[in-house]
Amino acid sequence: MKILILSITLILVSFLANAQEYYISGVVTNEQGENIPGVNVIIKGSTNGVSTDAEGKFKVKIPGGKRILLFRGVGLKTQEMLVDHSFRSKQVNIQMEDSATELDAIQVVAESESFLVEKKGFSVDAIETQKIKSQSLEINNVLGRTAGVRVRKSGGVGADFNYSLDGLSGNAIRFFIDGVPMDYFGSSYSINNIPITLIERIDIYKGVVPVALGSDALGGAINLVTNQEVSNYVSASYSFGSFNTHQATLNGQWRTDSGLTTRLSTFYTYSDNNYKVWGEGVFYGDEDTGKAIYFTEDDPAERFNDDFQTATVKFDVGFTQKQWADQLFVSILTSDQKKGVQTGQTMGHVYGEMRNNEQVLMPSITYQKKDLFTNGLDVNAFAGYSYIEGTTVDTTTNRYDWRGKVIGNNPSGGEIGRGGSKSLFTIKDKSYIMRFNTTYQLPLGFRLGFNYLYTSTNRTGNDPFSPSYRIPYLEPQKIGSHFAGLSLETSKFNDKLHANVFLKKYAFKSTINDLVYTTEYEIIEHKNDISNWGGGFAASYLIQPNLLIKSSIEQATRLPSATEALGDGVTIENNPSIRPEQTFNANIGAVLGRYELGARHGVKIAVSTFYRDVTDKLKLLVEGGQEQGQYENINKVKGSGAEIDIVYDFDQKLKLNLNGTYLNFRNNQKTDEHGRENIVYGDRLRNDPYLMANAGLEYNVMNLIQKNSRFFAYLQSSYVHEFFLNWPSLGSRNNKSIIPSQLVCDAGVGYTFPSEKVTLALDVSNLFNEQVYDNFLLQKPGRAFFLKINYQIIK
Amino acid sequence: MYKNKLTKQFFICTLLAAGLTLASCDDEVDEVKGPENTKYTVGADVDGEGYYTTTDDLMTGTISIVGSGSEGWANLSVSVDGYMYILNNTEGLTEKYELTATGPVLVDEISNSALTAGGFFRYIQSINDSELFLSTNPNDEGSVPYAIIDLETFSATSKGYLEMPTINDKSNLWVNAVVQGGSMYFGSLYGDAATWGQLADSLVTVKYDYPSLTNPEILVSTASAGMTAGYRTNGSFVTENGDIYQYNITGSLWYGHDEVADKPSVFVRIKDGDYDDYVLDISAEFDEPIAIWNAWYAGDGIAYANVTRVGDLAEWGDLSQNTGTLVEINLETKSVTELNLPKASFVNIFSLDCVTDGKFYIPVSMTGGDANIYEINRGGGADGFTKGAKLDGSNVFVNALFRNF
Repeated sequence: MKILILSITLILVSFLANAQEYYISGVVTNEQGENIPGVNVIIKGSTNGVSTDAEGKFKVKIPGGKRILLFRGVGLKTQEMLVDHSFRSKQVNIQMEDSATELDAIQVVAESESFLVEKKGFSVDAIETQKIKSQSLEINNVLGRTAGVRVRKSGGVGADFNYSLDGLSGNAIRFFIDGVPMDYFGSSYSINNIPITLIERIDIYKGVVPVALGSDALGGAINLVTNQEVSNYVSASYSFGSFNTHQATLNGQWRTDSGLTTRLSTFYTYSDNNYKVWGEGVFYGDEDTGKAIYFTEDDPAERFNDDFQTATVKFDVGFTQKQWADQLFVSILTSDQKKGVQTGQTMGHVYGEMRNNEQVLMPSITYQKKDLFTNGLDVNAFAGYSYIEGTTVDTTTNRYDWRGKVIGNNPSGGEIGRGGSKSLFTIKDKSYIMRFNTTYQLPLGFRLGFNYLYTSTNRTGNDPFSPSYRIPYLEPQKIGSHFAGLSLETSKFNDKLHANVFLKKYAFKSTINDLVYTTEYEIIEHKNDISNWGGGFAASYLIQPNLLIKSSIEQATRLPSATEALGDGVTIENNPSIRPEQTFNANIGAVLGRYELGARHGVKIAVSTFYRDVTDKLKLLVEGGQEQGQYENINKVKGSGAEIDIVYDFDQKLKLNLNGTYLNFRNNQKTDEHGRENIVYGDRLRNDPYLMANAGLEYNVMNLIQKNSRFFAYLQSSYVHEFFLNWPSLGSRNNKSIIPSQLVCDAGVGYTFPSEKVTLALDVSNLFNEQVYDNFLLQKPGRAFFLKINYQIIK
Repeated sequence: MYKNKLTKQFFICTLLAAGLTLASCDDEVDEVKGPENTKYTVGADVDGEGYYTTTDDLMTGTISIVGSGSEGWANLSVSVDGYMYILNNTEGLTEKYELTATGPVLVDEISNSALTAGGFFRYIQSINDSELFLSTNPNDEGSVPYAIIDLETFSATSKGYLEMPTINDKSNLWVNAVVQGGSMYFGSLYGDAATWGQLADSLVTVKYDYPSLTNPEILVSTASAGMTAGYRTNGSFVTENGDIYQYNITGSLWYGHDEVADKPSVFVRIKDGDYDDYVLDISAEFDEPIAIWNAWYAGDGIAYANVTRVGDLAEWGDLSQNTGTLVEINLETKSVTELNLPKASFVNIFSLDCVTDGKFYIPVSMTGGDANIYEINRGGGADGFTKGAKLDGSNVFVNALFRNF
């Protein structure tokens, strides 16, 4: 019996050893013995792979068994290498020969990274920023070019923004940086403001979100991946452009032989945002009669209280590549942001002195280790404390119009709040964030993942001009949430099938103040404790080496944000009875990538369809024509859509990208909050774009003017079809408020000098100076020019 | 005989001609005919969005905003001489629209920001069909932003802040006004601005000379307490003989406390510039506590009030349920008749100025039920009404109904 058990055990161990995935690491050098960064190390017959780091090092995961590794790089002859499990503990050294025929393979890298993520079955796009880092582009602009993504901004640099992913928008979309929710990093360190220079890759998950991005994302998630290199480097950039816009970044890393590592990421942005506006909403009143006199394209108004300034410093100190830690960092992030507030909900309301300021202090600790204690056990942990202080400054008694002139005086002061009262309201948020993520390699090629996220926010406020209605916002209010997720992932049939099944648990607790007055004001605390389960799966199958089909579904929950639950004390009331949103998401798609049309041509086509069914949707209910509102759970939304993304490349130089998205999202609320039948049941969602398309052309040239230099040029256009501000079925179509169709073109060029240390870039946004709106009567900037210089030293 | 025949024909023709002439004179004198389909405006609120449409027929067919009408807040508008004047608080404008057979056409605009802080007005009313008076509630300083707009030139003739007097350290918290006989009367609520408590224990109106808006005078009635400004609808109205009638709001739901909840809901009168001893105690007509939320004057001494039983209103949302009843009040005879109309929510009907041929028209939208215009025969008793045109119902809440022509 013992022999039998021993035999079975040996067979199993042998089988598992064979079936288990393993890692191979090594260094790639050229004929001169110099380490080569950026070489693709790809498992032949698949699109899985990595690229070498700045020191030419790589570490690639092999699904198991014997495989052939392909080494491909710019100007290098492709090499192959047969590997098996015995290579696991060896350091592989590859020397590559120069080749005049094999050109830039950057595109392949991008596809490889993207495809790697896509193969997990999720509806995801991965954007490599390598080529566009040198440009003066906002991350918002870059993401807005992606199929299914729509970014709506209310103005220029630093303006409010709203993301829509495959039809779900607003707070349903969560943002992460290296897997940590960004909600607690403050406005300055947000996707709106972080320079693209600091980001290596952006993953966009639509609808279904993996457990590893542990949070309560409902409509999707965007994860910014920062530079994880361990080499020493310094990178700086400065750009200057229209509207007196300046952006400077400085970041770098220094690692000693002992593994002591320090990192610095800083950026500073300033803009006057004094772009020209005209037309509807942009008027002033005749001083005698009050008659509205409109500014025109020939005689436009200039925004005058829209300046934006932010400065952020993030400093990390710790150890890298130690036996006990791949990374251990103690970090401190601090930021300061100041911005003018030019308008209310439309340009019809002009503010001349109102401002929003915010300061953030956030210490945190990060720990990462692969193969902790035992092979296959990877751990990633984060803990942080965030203190955010935001102040609304609305103390002036002056009143302004679009001429920038003081046109009168409001005795009680304040520019918002229907002319009511002054405000100097400061919100103080104290938040704790803890994230623990681990994966463990199980036998038979399965991988178990666990993720836990805890967040809590304690919000208080103060205001020297405090009116009574603000009393609940001065006293502490609190929300807390727990998220736990468990996933089981595997790949089978020679890596052709990927499957991921997951289970999620959400819990939400809140203590929200209500104000009751009898003979005096009394604060009543409302406590709320809600939990939900969720789960789903994602799977993909590689039918052919370049044809992937994938599908994912999820029942997801989104917990109310601090502002939705606790209010902001200025324009948004708190809601003691608020509940989480829930949705059922499903995606089906296929990727044909990259299909060779000839020796030098290739095309990649991705199509996907999706379905969303949202219940208890949180909606900001605003009193008619006024500025006060409250988030309430009233909406049901159901919809589907489709998107297509086509990329054609020629000779590794030219790349043409076309994508389009169509959404058919409808009001699924049969009765309203008062139990009345909903007459707009089945209506297309109001104020929601539903037909979008992008087209982009990129051109790369090596050795232009100088040998080993790189030239990069792009032309990008985005189209959004007109959509109604209000319910489409109500009122006559010919006099409804419309956000008009728009076609916006951007263009730019970049030149990297042979040393690769210096890159110069010129960008033009809104090339044809169109009058552009993402939101009703909130005009965005016209044509703008930006010049940027990047300087980089890699040691 | 022939002559007689001719004489008879002449006589008949003369009679017919005279009759036709008189009939057409009636039309011209009593009723200015506007473009087709513009006689009445019906305004509605759907999920916080405003819509309105116009019609010539309130009694048959369907009046719907589905696929027809315009976006905008008719409940924040008035209609004078074929033009609609709408407060567009979204864009900070007072807009002038000409009513045409193909829909309203924008003809002029005034910047509200040039008139008041924030460009926001809560109330708009026509003064003698020659001026608009725009106002909103007092600010923290107790000043009421206002503007007077001359309709002939559509331009502001007066604007600024009207400082409301304090009464025993109590501030004015809410106002809405009517003009009568060279004076403007501001129905008011007085209390502590910070708490909205310590309310005045009487009814208060502040009277100014109009249009100079000078010489403030405080009028006080001890008949009850609570707000005389009205909430959605003006709390005061002027009758044909120049008397001003007011009602008060007493419900604890409105104030968030019960300081004046035990005070009666009444109609009082301002005659010859001051309150007189007229009191019509509506509460006394009911055997349980009630509150008046709206009242509309229908002419000839008849008013209609939206009365709610306080016991039906545990929370604010109950106002949107079928908790309102319509009561006909003969201000002269002091008779009060609760109509047997379906119970509904009437609280958000801002503007209701629709009387034709002695009949009063009101939208009745039952939550979970039908929605129709109802024609009420003044003095016709509890059942003196007829169901008229069908409305959209559901969550399309009609908040304005008024005559244009």
